[in-house]
Amino acid sequence: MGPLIPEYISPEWNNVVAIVLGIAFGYVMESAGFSSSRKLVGVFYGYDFAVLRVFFTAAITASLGLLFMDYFGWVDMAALDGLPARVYPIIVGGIIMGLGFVIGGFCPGTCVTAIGIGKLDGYVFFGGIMLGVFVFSEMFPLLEGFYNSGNVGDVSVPEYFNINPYWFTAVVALVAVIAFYVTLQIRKKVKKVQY
Amino acid sequence: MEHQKAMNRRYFFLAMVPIVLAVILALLPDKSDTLDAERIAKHLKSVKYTGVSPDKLLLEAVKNDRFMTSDDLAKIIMGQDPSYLLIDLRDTTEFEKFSLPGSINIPAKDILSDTKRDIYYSDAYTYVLISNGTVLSEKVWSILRRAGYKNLKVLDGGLNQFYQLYLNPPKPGELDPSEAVDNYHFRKAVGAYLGLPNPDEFIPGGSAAVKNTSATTANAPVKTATKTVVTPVKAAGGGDEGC
Repeated sequence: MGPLIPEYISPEWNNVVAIVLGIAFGYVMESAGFSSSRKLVGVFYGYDFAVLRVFFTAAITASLGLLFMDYFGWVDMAALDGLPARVYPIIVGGIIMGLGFVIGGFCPGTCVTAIGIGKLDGYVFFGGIMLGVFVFSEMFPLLEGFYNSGNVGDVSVPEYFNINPYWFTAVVALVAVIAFYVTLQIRKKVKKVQY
Repeated sequence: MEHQKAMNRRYFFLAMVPIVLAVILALLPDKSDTLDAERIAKHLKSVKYTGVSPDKLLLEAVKNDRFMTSDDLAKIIMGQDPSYLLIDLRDTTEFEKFSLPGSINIPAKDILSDTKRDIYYSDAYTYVLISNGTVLSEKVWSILRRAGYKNLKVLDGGLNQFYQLYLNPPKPGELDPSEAVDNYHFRKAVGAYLGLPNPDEFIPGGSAAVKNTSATTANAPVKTATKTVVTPVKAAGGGDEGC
């Protein structure tokens, strides 16, 4: 299972572990209410900040967990591979993704969760994703130059700015808690939405 | 209202958990003693544990299955088995004087340097560590095991024993089993394959005479005996150029 316990679980089990983790992930997403597009877009209108909280918490938990496990010698963080960061395509892609999120009411993962509980809009959204993937693939030779522009390589934020990753994580955790508090105050001021 | 307060308190504690954990992490002592440039670039302060843990290494060190006998190595060399890579750990000067056929030279001090590591960074090979004795190769074995390398063997007795065995194979006695005789012939054949001089061919009286001269005390007749030994060696060396 990845770099964590290779001597006990051999790489042949990777797909089995992935399926089990995927089912658990889908179950937790659905339990958290992430199959509802009204809840998801609440973050844009200011009546529900569950998305922001969940993703911020996930990021902090993952980075703290990885740094601790690296410190104890269970995971070699230098051996973890990340995708190369391509600055300009990420900005454009982020705008497109955000627009799709607020218009369609799902992100690619949550639309599959919505399909899991039989929502029609989930199916439509998923069809749209597949169509977008197809069109992008066909147009790729035209977009290739832009797709590879602004490549700064596989770097993390602390690495790029040459700062201590441990204190960086502490600051991110602090920022997250402040964000939780601020969004709580915003939510109190915004009119309650029933969904 | 009371319920709201309790919820607020719970949220507060939950929110404090990541901050406290992150601060603890940032204040943990720096344990890094690694030379890995990638870890230094990432400012990671932990030791890199990729190899076997010290307690497992101790268990492996007690077991002797890492040793490869000279006969096994000779079979590999003669069979030119491509799945084995012979790593000679001695200095370059020693390596240039003589080396086993097919062996590559990585001096022990360079064993973890990046350019050399690329050579043996593969699970496809079994690596045989070779030095004059076993002390150096055993040291390198434990370093490489801790660094996470697998399929490592140590030549038992080192090159000294290897050459001793094939230069002058111990003759089987009359009561020895037939395997001993087979072994003797095999070792003589290996000696011929490696181009080692065979004492039986050019020394009057064979290897037994060499043993006798070394065993006797230094007196006048022996000195003449050694003289007679020396000249045929030169003659044999001249006629033996084809080797």
